[in-house]
Amino acid sequence: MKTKKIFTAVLITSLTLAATISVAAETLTSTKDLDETEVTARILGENEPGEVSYVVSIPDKIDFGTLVKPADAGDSFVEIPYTVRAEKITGLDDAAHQNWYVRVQVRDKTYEMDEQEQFYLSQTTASYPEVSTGKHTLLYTICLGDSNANVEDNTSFKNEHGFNIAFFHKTGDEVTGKFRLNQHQLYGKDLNEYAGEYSGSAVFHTSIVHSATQN
Amino acid sequence: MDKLKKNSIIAAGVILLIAVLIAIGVFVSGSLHDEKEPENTNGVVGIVSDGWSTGLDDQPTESASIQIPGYSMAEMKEGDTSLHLSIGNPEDNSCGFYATLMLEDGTVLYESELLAPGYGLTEIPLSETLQKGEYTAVVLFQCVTLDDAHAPLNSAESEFTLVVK
Repeated sequence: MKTKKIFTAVLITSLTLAATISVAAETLTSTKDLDETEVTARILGENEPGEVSYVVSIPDKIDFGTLVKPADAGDSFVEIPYTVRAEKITGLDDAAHQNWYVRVQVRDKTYEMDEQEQFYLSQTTASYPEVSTGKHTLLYTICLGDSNANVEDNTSFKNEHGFNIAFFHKTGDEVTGKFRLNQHQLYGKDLNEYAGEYSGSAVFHTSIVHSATQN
Repeated sequence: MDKLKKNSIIAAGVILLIAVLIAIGVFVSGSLHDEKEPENTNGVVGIVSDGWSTGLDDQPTESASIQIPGYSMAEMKEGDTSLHLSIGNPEDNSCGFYATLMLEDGTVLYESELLAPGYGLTEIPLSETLQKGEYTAVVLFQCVTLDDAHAPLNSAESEFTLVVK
């Protein structure tokens, strides 16, 4: 009987020991996570350093399709609508960040402030290289909202990153507009020279800014 | 009787030994898990993996758009050879990303391979170390089609503050 008691006591002690150490290991991990959360909370609210704090969607390309040489010298616009949207923004919804925004700017890939600020497509492939004199370009504009004014003239601010087009504060904020190309540029031109494929790309620059410094 | 007592003591000893071994195994397993935590970055730098997520609740997007991740800040210690920064291509996108981490002055710290939708990395191996201070940094996302041509699409930059302590 005594042996049985000893056996039972050793068994209970052993199982208790194993359970205690297992829990200790789990507790150690949880405490570590908690510590990291506390540190990041002190710095950034709900956003940890290095983590994604917002997602913005931009148009994937600017495709004007097949362009047509206009019959007369008047304007002949091709317009492509676009949307830039804040798919998700975190960390700006508390009182401490009410004046902070995700700013979106846009520029041509070849943009140089005060030097080359226009948006254009470059001829990448000539349909008739035997008669084409070289690479041609076609200008286009980026318009905000329903306005036909281009962003270069209509925006209140530009810097080395381009022109302001949006300030987002919360998820779901968006701006719309249109890319606009005047086929008048082809009027009177030899289409054998201009025919071919054109491409260009815009660069969208995002940053978090305070309202006092956004313009 | 003595033989029975002896056998019982041996059995108890074996059970005790097994319990101790199980406990040690669990403890070591927990310790190994801890070694994978972010502060030991040298062992996991530059590993591109699938299953990358922005960490936010992903929202469906229009077909002709590209989702671009943005950052408020990142931080590291002086002399670190890697940076904790979640760079990747949201899985809802239908294009590829070439991501480049650079400073405002053009210093390139990292260039990724082609990141398909859903792929990314969180520990960025740096081409050079940085001294203490605050830097303006940018992740340039060069977007390309996923076909063999990898034709360029519009691109985007996400600017953020890089704090080196």
